[in-house]
Amino acid sequence: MVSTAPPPVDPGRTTRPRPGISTEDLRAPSRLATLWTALARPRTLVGVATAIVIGYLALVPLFYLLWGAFSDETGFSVDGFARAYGDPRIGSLIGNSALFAIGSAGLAMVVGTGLAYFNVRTDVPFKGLFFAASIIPLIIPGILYTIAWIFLASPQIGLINAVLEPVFGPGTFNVFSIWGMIWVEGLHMSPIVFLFMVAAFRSTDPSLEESALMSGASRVQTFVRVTLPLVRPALVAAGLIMIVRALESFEVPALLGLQNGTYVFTSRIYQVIKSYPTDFPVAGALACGLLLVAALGIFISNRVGRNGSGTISGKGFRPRPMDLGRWKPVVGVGILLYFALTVVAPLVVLLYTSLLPYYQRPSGEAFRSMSLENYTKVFDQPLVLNALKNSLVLGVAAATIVMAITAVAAWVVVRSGLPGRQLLDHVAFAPLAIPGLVLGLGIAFVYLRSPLPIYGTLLILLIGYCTRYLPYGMRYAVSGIHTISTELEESAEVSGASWWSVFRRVLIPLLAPALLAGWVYIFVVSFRELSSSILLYSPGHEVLSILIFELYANARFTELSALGVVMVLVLVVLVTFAYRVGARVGLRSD
Amino acid sequence: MSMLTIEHLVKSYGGDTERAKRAGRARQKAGSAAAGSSAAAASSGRQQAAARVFAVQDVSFEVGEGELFTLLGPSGCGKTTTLRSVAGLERPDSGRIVVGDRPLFASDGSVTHNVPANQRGLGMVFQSYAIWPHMTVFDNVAFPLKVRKRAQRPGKREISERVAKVLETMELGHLADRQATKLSGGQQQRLALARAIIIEPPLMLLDEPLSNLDAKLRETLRYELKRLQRELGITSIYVTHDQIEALALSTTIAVMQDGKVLQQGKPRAVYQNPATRFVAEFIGTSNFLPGTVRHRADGLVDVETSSCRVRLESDVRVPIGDSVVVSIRPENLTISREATGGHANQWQGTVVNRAFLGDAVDHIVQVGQGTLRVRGNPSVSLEPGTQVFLGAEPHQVALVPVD
Repeated sequence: MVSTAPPPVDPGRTTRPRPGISTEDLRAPSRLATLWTALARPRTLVGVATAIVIGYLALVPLFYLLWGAFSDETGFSVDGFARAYGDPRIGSLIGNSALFAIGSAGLAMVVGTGLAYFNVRTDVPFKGLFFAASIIPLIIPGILYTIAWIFLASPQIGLINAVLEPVFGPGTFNVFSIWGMIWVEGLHMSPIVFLFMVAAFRSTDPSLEESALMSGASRVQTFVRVTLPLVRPALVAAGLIMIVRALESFEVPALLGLQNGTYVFTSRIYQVIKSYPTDFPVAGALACGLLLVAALGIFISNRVGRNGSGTISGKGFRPRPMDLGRWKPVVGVGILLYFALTVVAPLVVLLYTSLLPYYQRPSGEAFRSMSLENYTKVFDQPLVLNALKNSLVLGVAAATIVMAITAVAAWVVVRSGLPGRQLLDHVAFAPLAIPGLVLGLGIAFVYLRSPLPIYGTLLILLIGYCTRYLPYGMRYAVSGIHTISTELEESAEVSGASWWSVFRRVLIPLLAPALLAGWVYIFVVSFRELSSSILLYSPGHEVLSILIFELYANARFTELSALGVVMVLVLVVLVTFAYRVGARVGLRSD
Repeated sequence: MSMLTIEHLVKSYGGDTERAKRAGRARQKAGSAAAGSSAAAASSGRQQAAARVFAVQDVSFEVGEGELFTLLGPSGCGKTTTLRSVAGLERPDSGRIVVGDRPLFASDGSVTHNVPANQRGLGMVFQSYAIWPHMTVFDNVAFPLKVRKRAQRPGKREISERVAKVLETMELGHLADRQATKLSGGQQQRLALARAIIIEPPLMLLDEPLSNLDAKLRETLRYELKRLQRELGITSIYVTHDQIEALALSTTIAVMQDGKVLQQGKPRAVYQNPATRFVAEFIGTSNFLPGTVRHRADGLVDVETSSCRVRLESDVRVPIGDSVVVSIRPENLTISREATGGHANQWQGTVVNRAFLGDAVDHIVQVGQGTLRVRGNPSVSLEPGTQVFLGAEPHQVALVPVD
């Protein structure tokens, strides 16, 4: 049964077409040949190429950011850090940043968690409104949301102040303050907390609460002593993510804080870049500090989220809503008020302003003067059409490139078994921890120094978007691959298909829904990107969000509103489409 | 002529942490087997590092043309790893795999010749069937022909003729244009088979193809599979953990445990003469009686156990006074109220328990110090406490080495 002869080698697979060669004869050439065939295999080549592209996108800006921060004309230097953190205003900068981040995260957490609890656990009315509100961060970009709140609560022109003036006197609310910033940022983020906590509450066994009620605890006691501790890992993770998001936020601090000198990190970096002569090392040093805090927050929240996933019972149960009883109308009114504040008011004020010849308080005269003139005026400008075109082109290109790269990268990470694939996974996720403004700065540093003529073109914006949304594409592609059984690819391989055939004919068609969902999502978020674009665009290469930012700076409020309404309409169409597509693979909100 | 030869196949996991973990999980499922395996691994001459986990340890066997060869064993025993090594989906550490006269894998540990899975030209049926949901029934079957190199690819018409023929054989002809996901479990199984045989492979590999079906359908398809395999005359390797399936289908069974083949032979031989206690326990149930050899003559051995004295037929040359284990299948024991003459083995005992199983009745009978399980016709059912006589033919009693 057992042959003692040396094993013959298949003639078809080696360089020498002579049958019956023993492995001894082949020792030297075989090793080289094995190494060569292993390297030259298309799967290895494609994997390595993808790793290089991802490494370039994710790591090079970080490297140049550090270089920019730690160098001046003479070479290595920490003067930038000394100037940035030795500034007497640094104390108030850090204090403002912390207050803004923690305050708006806190507001978002309280509102979002409360809404999620009512939605999942009680028979609260208007449940449809919750999910309409939850897509607000996707369809109203931060820049428009902030401007809408200026229209509502500016001490000079705010409509709410105008309404309250007869009772409380002029300027009841002042949106141009740290509290105004916290209010706007917190409201804008609250739907994200809502979605996050809905998932957490849904995966918690309600019988744990019911047994607390049976033990004699009141509803409030049950909520505080049982419900909240059960979802604590989700709460901590969400809280950290919100703090990081608020720290990264550019629109709110730039529009509401710069005017009265309330600086946070992002607005200060922007101000340093825009002042002449630009002190790049200081901007780099501030960006490094922000990056460190953001990366730390993301890291801890990932750890917490992972540890917490196992603590909630996974048993099958059907959540039964709790009867709110006589509190039902009270909660119902609260929900309507929230919806009016976060969704209706900002949209209505934008629409109202877009129809006026000049910004004014509502009056009979104002309503009589309404027309669509702003819309025709806006679209008569070549600049606007160009910006719309740029936004669309960049959205399509970034989404396509990211999904193409991540489809291969996800294969490398999940399936290939190539060495270093875990590292590739981590590198591809790194941009998640880089604030948009910091990324913009890093990329600007790269192409200011690079001889390639990329700075001052659309291409640099495309590189920025691709880097920024790489982690999102990765998330869609990786979770998509995980849902596909390995046997589907193995059976194709056994059937004789080459690696490329398996990839093209089996994996990609099966992965298509996930890739499409990721594509639409990236298209949506690229279409409204502002915080990295603001440091990368050049005149003639504006995108829509930049144009709105500029129109605001020039106080052209009515045209801005018309453009904003158009932008929201485009986003509504895109997001509706995204939800249709994403229904199959589970679309996650930004 | 042998269609498949496997020599000294070894496959271990380790170094690559992820795979080691996966293998570790498989081991945990195997439960207590893990301890035995690591001890065995340590004694293996091919062991590379203490932390390595051996999935397959020095497995060798040959499969003749037209055979249906079954690898049988509990999960984690290495049967699937062996099959996947033949398919080219796993890369063994060392050993040799030859199909017909074509070596697919040969390695002495440093120099390796390895034909990639997609150039081996074998057919495989996966546990989940791995039917591509984005293709029609026709496209699923045509795939292995369509992905061939241009020079070897048949023309469009030939492809559709061959696919139609295979689908007809599998009674799927009328479903050719249907989306593959819209098939019943049995139809999916036949589709997976059709796809595996479309290229007329020298060898077909089946990885627990019936385990996803409900019990009734599994039985029907078992006979269907046997008929098809015989009609097509295709040499097959079949992996299963279901002993009934293995006994019903196979021409040869190889029982595996901890990465090693414990016994190989025809189903009846393996069942009647298990080589080890594990084999006897894994295939069917058995009564094990430890005892001492008292007498041996003319191929008959007398063993003294704590329950009774047993006479059995065996060619094994065991010295008198040796400790052995005797195995008697419950269905090979007869039970009656009265003593009947002329039996080589007849023991008196008391019924202590019984269980009605539908097609049989099990009695637990106290004999001497121990108890024996007796399976009999459902018409014979005796109250606990009844005095009975048990009998067994010497050729139906097996001698099992002490593990």
